[in-house]
Amino acid sequence: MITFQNVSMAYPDGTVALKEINLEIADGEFVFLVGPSGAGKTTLTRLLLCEERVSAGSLEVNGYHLERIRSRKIPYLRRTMGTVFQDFKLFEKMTVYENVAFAMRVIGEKHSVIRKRVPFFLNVVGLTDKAHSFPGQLSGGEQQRVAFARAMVNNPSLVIADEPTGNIDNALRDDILDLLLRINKLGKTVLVVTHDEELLRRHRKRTVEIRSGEIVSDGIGYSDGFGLSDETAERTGSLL
Amino acid sequence: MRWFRSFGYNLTQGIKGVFRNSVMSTASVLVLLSCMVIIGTFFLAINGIEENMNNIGNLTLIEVRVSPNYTQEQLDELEAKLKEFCANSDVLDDEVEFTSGQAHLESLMEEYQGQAWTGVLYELPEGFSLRPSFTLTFSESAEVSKLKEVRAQIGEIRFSDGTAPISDGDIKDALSLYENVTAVKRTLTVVGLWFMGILLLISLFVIMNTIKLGVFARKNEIMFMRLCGATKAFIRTPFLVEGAIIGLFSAGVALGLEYLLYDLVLARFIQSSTSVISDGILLPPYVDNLLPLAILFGGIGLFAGLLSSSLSLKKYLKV
Repeated sequence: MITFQNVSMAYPDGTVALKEINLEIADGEFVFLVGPSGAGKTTLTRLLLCEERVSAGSLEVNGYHLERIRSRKIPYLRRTMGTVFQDFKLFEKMTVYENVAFAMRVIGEKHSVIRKRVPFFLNVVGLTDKAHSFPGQLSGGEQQRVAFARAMVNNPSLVIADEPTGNIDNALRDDILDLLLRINKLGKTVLVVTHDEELLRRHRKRTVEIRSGEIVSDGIGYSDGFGLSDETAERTGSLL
Repeated sequence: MRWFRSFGYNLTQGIKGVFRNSVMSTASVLVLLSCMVIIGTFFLAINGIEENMNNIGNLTLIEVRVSPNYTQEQLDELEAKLKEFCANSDVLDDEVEFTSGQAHLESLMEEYQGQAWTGVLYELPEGFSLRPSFTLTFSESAEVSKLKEVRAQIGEIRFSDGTAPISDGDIKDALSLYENVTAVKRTLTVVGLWFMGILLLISLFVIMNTIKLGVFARKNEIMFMRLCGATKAFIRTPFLVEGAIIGLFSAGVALGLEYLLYDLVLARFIQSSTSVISDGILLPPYVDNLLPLAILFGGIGLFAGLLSSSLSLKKYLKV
C-alpha cells in the first residue's frame, strides 16, 4: 500500500520537485507512472525507496511512514521492494545465478534458501539454461529478465520498474510487459515508470501522469501526448 | 550462524578488496610500515635508555655521607630531620635509607672480592669504618632545576645546636647524568611523537585513497546493495576489514623488520662504538620488547586502517 498525502519535495538548492502530491496505490495494483523528463517521476520513486526524504506531507509505503522513518529502519523498508533499472545494473563479473543470488546474500539470507529460490525465479523468467552465463553473453531482453528475477527473489510486495523497455527492442516489449503482468498476478504491486507511449497505448492500465511536480491525471488508459482520456478525466475529476 | 556467514563474507570481501587495488594496497602497507618502523625505533631507543637507567639504579638517588665520628643520637637526629625534609618535599620519596660505615665496608669487600688490592681491606685497624650514609630517592619525573634546589636545601639542615652536619661535598648524586639522560629521552619522545603524527596522517591519506578506489570500483554494487536492503554495517564491514588487514599486515611486517634493525644495526652500532656512553650499555633482548611493540604496531595499524576506511565510506553511505 502506498499513500502520498500532500507530499512536497524540495532539494537543498530550492528546486521544488514535487508539489502537494496526493496518490494512493492499493496492494496488488498495476500502475504506470508517466510524464516528460524533469516532471518529478524520478524524485517520486526516490521518495518511495527513501533515497530522498519528503519535505512536507506524509508518505506511507508498505506500512512504513517515510516522513519519520529512522535511518536504521530504511534497509527493512527497502526489503519490501524490488527495483528494476533501465540499464539493468547487472554485475558483469558475476554469472546470472550469482547476480540473482547476490540480492539475497546482501540481506543475510541462508545459503539453503538461496539455493532453492534462485533456480525457481530463473525458471519464472525462463533463464534456467543461462544460469551460468555472464551478462555480457546475454541479449538485452535476457538481461532485463535477469534484472526482474533479481528484483523478485526477495519476495517484495512492491516492484518498481524504471523504464523497463528503454533498452530493449520493440519486439521484446510485450515479453517484458507480460512478465510484469505475471508478477502483478502473483499479488505484487507493480509501478512502472515509463516514457514508452506504445506500451501505454497497447496496455490499458491505471496511468498516473505527472508534470512539473504535480499529478495532472490519474486513470485507466492513455491518450496520445500524455493527455487525458475520457476515463482518466473522469477519475481525475473524482479525485479532485 | 548468521554471524559466521557474515564473518566469512566480510573476510572474503576484505581480502578481495586488498588484492583489487594491489598497487595502492602495497603503497599503503609501505607507508604504514615506514611509520611503524620509525616509531618503533624511537620506542626501542627510549626503552633501551630506561632499561639502562634501571640497571645503573642510582640515577635517581641522592646520597648524603656523614662523618663516622657522629654519635648514634646525632645520627638519629639527622635521620629524623632528613625524613621531615623528605616529607615536606614534593619530589622526594618519604623513605630515607640509612647505611652504616661497616655495611659500606662489607659491601665494598664483597663487590671487589678476589681482586689483589682488596687484601688491604683486611688489614685495616680495628674500629676503622667508612662514612655512614643516608640515601634519599627522587621520582623519575622530577625536574632537574627542582632537584638542584633540593640538593642545596639539604646542605642547610642543622643540628639542634646549630652546627651543620652536611657540607656540600658530602652530597653525592648523578644529577648531571640524570639531566642528560632525561633530555635525550624527552627529545626522542617529542621527535618520535612528531614523526608518529606526521606519518600517521600520511598513512591515513594513502589508505583512504586505497579504500576510496575500492569503494569507487564497487559504487554500483554498493548502490544496489543499499536498494536491496543491505544494512550499513553489511556494506561497511568489508571495507573496514580491508583497512584492518592492511593495518595488521603492516604491523606484522614492521615487527619482523624492527627485529632485523634491532639485532643487526642498532646492536652492532652500539657494540662497535668507542664512545664513553657505549661502555657497559646493555640492550634488552628483542623478545622483551615484542609484546609492547606488537601492541603498539597493532594499535597503530588498526587505528589507521579502520579510521581511514570509515572516512572513505562516509560519502557512499548517506541515506
